[in-house]
Amino acid sequence: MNVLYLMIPISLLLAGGFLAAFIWSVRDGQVDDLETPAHRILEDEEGA
Amino acid sequence: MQNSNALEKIDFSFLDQPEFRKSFTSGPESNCIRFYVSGIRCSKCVRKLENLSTTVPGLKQLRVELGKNLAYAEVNPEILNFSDLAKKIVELGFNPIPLSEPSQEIAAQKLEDRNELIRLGVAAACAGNIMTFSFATYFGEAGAFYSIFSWLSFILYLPVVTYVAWPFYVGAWTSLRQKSLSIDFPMAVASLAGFVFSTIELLRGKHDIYFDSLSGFLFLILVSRWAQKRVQRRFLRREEIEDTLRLQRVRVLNSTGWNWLPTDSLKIGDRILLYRSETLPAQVELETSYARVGMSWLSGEIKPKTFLQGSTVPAGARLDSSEATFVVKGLLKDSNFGRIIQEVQKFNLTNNRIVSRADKWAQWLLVSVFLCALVFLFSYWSTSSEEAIRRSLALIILACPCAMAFGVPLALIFSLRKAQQRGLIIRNANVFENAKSIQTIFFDKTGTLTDSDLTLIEDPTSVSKIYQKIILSLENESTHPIAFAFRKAIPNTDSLLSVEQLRETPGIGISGYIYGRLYELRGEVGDSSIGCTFFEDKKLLFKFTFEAAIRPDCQMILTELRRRNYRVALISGDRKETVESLGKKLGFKDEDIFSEMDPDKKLFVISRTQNPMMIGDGVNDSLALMKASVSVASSGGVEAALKSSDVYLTEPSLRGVLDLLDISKDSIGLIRQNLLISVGYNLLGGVLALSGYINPFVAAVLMPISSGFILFITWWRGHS
Repeated sequence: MNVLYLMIPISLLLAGGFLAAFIWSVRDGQVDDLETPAHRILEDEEGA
Repeated sequence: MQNSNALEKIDFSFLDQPEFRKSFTSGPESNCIRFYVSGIRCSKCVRKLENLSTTVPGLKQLRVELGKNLAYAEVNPEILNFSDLAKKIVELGFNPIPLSEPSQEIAAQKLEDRNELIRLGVAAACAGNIMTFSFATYFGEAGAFYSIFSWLSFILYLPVVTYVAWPFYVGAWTSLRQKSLSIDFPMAVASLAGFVFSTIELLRGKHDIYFDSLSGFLFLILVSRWAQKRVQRRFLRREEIEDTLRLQRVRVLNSTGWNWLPTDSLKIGDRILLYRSETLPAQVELETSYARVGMSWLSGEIKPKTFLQGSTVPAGARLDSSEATFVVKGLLKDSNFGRIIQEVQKFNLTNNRIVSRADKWAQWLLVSVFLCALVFLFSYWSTSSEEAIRRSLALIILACPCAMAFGVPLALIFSLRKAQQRGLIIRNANVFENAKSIQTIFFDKTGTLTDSDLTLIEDPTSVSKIYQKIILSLENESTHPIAFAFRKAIPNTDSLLSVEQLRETPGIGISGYIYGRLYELRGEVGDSSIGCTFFEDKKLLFKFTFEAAIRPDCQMILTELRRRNYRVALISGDRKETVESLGKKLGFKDEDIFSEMDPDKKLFVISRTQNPMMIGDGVNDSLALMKASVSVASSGGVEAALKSSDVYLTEPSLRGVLDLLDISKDSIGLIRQNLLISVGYNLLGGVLALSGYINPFVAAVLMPISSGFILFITWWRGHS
């Protein structure tokens, strides 16, 4: 169980890292439009 | 408002003029522009538009936002003009409308949206992690780690109780200062009280710690609010589009030719040039020798009026003859037409009711739940203070206004989708509620029950081929509505005859010599229709009559509405005889036919009727449309009517009116059912919570399950 003393900080760091990434992506405007990207990937590039 | 004619659709040259660039473009070199592009429906459209950036030189980027029908473009101004870009979009089959630059308000809203999403992210991260630590303790497996996990939960709850719950504190405080209770108040109390209670328990080394339930609860509430806001925005937003539909620009004559100018900057004394079927953006004096002007937008009268040089033409009238020049005598904002437009716009801002009402119910529910909890807390305190706190906390967490906060908007979305599939564009979600209590349905005549254009009544083949050809030859150049009707009715013959001394006399008719014989077509106004007589060398040969044709399905829909016990009425600005003969034909009762109604009179009739529905189009209907409980714009007079109406029919048939009534019934039924489930759940859950069968954690699990259940039921019924 002692491994938890290592795992818990790591898990918290991981969570914090993902949260930071999320905040960055929002500030960057990546999630301003939640609808179009879902459609965009459905269509192939012309001529591809 | 009929600015969407072919000519203007193609001519975007105004976008390249400095006066317009200022208001339409953005970016450091004013090289970015936004278009509202109607008709973007699927991924194919997105791909088609976005591919422009690979095929059009000078177009750096084009991004489409599907939900909002927006296209953002960034160009290299040295290579590509905005007008050419617009033309490229038109070539793909879309109709781009340039949007003026977003105001600061919209920019602020965007920032707020992002902040909300960040808050949501923080709430999710904290709640999720607290949950992982708590999970072991539920099964008593934490052992030596119990206090470590509890303290970690406490630390993770700190950002929740401060940052995540902050909007609830602000909302609660604001409402308290206004001496009312908002939906935020119970949340704020639950968050703070739960925090204090759990912290005390933690310090005392006890096990009643609810950081998990509280953070989960706050997260779920935030999610539901966020979703609700998106729904609301998507369907209730309208101001932005309206801006673009205003009369935007006009050709102003100068010494060398003409120039586009924004309508707002028009001055008295300016000389303007208009082409056929364009709308006068000001009160003007006619400079050309004569012009025929359609007043149907103002009065509903289908027959265009002829004006001679020097006479005054009101703003909002539509030019029906070929190009003409005018001198501006009065500005749009001072004219009747301008006043109507302004009033229409003012009215819309206060038009947003349905969701606020759902919020009110939710508030009522929460306030009563909160009061119950408070009463219980005090009365049970003497028995066991811990148990009192635990049970009232469970009650507050369990109580879920989901049916209101979530179920109502969702039910509305499904109804809106259904309506969209049947060709109805709903601009105002209050419609469904209002449509349930409709008693009287008013139909406008022109453009609603009948077409806006004239149609020849007689069979043109009863006239011999050679006379058909002669008539077509005479009318070939004319822009009179009768000429259009002839051209529509008579199949085009291969070649036309040459006409000598062709003369078109406004108000009288057209004449000319063919093979040395004098042929004349004279217009005459009958009781209920417009007539036209055909002479050969002064000898009367044929008589023709024209009428605005009755639109398809009319009779069937009126019969069905009568069968459902609605009172149907006909209301029109047209002449008494015309309206009455149509009314009789369609079976309206005498007392339900209103003719020669100007906008104010229509407004008066509508406002004296209980729960009226108005179906009409055109600027002359807009006052009446706004006053009606439910207003439906039939296709034709699109822009103006859309501003004032709740529903727009995209199909020529009036079938949409029946669909609207059906969908409204379903939608309100669904909402009622959701409310019933919600009341049942809250009552049952409340009793169980207060009697101690449900602890705060179970409450925090039940709450999302109940909302899931409501969502499922709504989805299931909305699809069947």
